Amino acid sequence: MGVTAWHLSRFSTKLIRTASLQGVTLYAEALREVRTLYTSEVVERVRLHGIPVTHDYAAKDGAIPLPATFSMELARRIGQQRGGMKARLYSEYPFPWRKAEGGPKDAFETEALEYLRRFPEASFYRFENFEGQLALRYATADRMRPSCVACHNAHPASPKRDWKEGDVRGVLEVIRPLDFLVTQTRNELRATFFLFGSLGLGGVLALVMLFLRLRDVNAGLERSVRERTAQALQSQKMAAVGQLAAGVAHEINNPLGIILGFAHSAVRRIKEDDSLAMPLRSIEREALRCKTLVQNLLLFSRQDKAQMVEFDLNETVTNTLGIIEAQARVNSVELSKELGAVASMMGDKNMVQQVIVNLCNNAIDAMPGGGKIVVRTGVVAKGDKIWTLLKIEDNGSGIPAEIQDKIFNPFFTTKEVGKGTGLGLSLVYEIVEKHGGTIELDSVVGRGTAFTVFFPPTDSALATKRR
Amino acid sequence: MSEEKKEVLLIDDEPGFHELFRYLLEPLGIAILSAHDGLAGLKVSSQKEYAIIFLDVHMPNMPGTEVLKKIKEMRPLQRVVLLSSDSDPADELEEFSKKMGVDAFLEKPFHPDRVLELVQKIMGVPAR
Repeated sequence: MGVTAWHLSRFSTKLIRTASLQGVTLYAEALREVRTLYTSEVVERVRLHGIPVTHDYAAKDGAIPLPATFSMELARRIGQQRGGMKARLYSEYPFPWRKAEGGPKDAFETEALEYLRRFPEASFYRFENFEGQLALRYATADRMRPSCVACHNAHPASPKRDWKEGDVRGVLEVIRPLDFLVTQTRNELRATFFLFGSLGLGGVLALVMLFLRLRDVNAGLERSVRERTAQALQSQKMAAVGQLAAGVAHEINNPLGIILGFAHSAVRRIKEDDSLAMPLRSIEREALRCKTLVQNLLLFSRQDKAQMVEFDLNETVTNTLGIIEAQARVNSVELSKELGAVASMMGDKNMVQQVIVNLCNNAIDAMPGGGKIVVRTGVVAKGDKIWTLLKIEDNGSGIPAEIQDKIFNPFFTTKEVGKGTGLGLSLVYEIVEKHGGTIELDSVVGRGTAFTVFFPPTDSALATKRR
Repeated sequence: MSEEKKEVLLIDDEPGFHELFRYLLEPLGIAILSAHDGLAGLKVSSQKEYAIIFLDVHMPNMPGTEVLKKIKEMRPLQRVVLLSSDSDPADELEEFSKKMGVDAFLEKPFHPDRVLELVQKIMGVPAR
């Protein structure tokens, strides 16, 4: 802005100078022309008839002014009307009646006279303070025309009588005060400056906003790419682990079935005091553990398509909490629900039930000293679609930030050996993904954890049918 | 129920299950006949009607489902219990079994009590 202002100021100065110089040049030419014309067409003619031509014509009856007097009078009158423009004639050889006025009176005039005597064709000008205000002083040589020479050499009062055509008689100076012009131009330029300035500022603001918006969009895109990539990676991992798990589980299932079958029936048949009773019970117990693990693995890896049916999430939550209630009570966990007005949704009821059970079990495990679990349902608008929300909140130990991105990995567990398979949350993740939903984690160590599952909107016809 | 009918056929490629079935059922006076793959199973089952045929779904040479079809063609009244793994797509298998007139399903790994319950239900043999 500063640079622009400086440029504009420089530009205005230049503009003023050019315009005023042009003005005074024309003015000086006009004055000279008028005098020449007056000399040849008036003075020459009337002189032959004896009409007196004199500087003090006003005081003499029937007299007309000398050309120089005439042109100075003209300049005086114009000056009165046009912004104080002045003209002056001066010379080293003033007529006697102009002794006081007709010589150079200041530095400019002396210099102008000296300069123009050497370069009669040139002009001599300066912008300088004149009588208290900035002015353009423009001087040109006043030269002897053919119509002038005879008269000047013949006039009785002439201080010099050997004038030749082209001689520099003196100087014609035009003085143009600039203050008014400067103010006017500056004002107009200031207005222009502010106009352009605000336009520019507006442009810059628009650019900044555009830039910010773009940055926003970009950040959003980056985030969504990151999320999608993470999701894709997670599903790939799931798929790989799933295949492996299915293979292993399948192979283990048969031998395990045999071990378990023998263990169950052997334990039933053996007497309590038999020395093999305890080892057999241990075999049975551990085989059962294996069975649970294998079943989890298979559940996790099952390629089954979800059996999508229309169901009431609130009803499923209520039923499921009934299953968990006993376990919660044993662990001093208070289980409550806050059910919102949800429309029926499409999904696999058993899988959704599994999600609730797994998340609640984790919550119970996160609160060894007891605590509270709140299961919420509700709806949330994403874009113009209504998603169904399932939120399971506890006030347990929380999940440290550094493992939050690992908890959905298969086999990742923080539970002690034998307590957890590390498949619970990955199963939840898998199920949510099968439903086309998303799951979000919000956890603060020492304060608790909330898992929020978003189920995608069912088509609106179905959604409104139940309402 | 004739003595003859106290015979149970197990068609399964896993030897351990044959041992387990003998351990479970022989004390009840039930004889266990064994076949270790689909084709062998089909051959044995074509010889006569058994009190129950326990038939595994996953087997070499001929899958249990094919064996089941052939058995039911020959002997529509043959009582059959299908042994499946819980990694099988349960719904399809269930539908197929219903259509084929299968008596029951036993999902591996199973609790031995389930075997005894089924035997009692189908054969009327006391479980203990």
